[in-house]
Amino acid sequence: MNACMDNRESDSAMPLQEKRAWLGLATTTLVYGGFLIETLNTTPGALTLIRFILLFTLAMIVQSVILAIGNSIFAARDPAGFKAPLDERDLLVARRSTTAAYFTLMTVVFLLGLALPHYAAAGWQITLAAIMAMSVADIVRSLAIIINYRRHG
Amino acid sequence: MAERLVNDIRTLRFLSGEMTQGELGARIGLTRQTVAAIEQGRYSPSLESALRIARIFGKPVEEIFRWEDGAAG
Repeated sequence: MNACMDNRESDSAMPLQEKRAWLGLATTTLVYGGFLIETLNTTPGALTLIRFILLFTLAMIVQSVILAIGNSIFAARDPAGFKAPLDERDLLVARRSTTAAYFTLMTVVFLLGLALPHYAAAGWQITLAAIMAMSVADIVRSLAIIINYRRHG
Repeated sequence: MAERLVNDIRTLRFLSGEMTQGELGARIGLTRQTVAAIEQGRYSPSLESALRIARIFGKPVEEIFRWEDGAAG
């Protein structure tokens, strides 16, 4: 049977946007998970503003470097696919996942807004909560992309 | 009644000089993976893409895409 009718052609190769979502999911989970654990494990009072900013800056740099390396690998393995514009399916999946992330962010921020005042949260705790909310929303966005490509997309 | 959209794109590609999914996708502005998803029934193309596919194979849209009773499958 010729290659055109071969099932392997249909089933092979994950879409580029799904690969990027997996990379983003792993990176955000590991980097910001590590950042939150490190920050929360620090003895209260020992976490100075400078240390907090340094840790956050380090997390951003590590995430950026990992994403840049990952995208470089994707581009090197499939230059044409990397340069190609998003098609209608990619845009549909992006729209669905962004919507899911938006409502997640709104929900988490709302819940934090309700909870934080009762704990007399310090400034850095509020900032930490905001970073956590954004990380959760980003994870939901990546998961929604992956699920949409696999089930509906 | 559970119905699903099926199509004959894979067969039509075969009959059109063994056109690959990538070649078909390039001609209608879709990625190879999206063409694969359409063939597998996991993604329903837009009307615009369905009309482009029909034009490439020289057939009416309803001859390429049709509803199939899920219970029969």
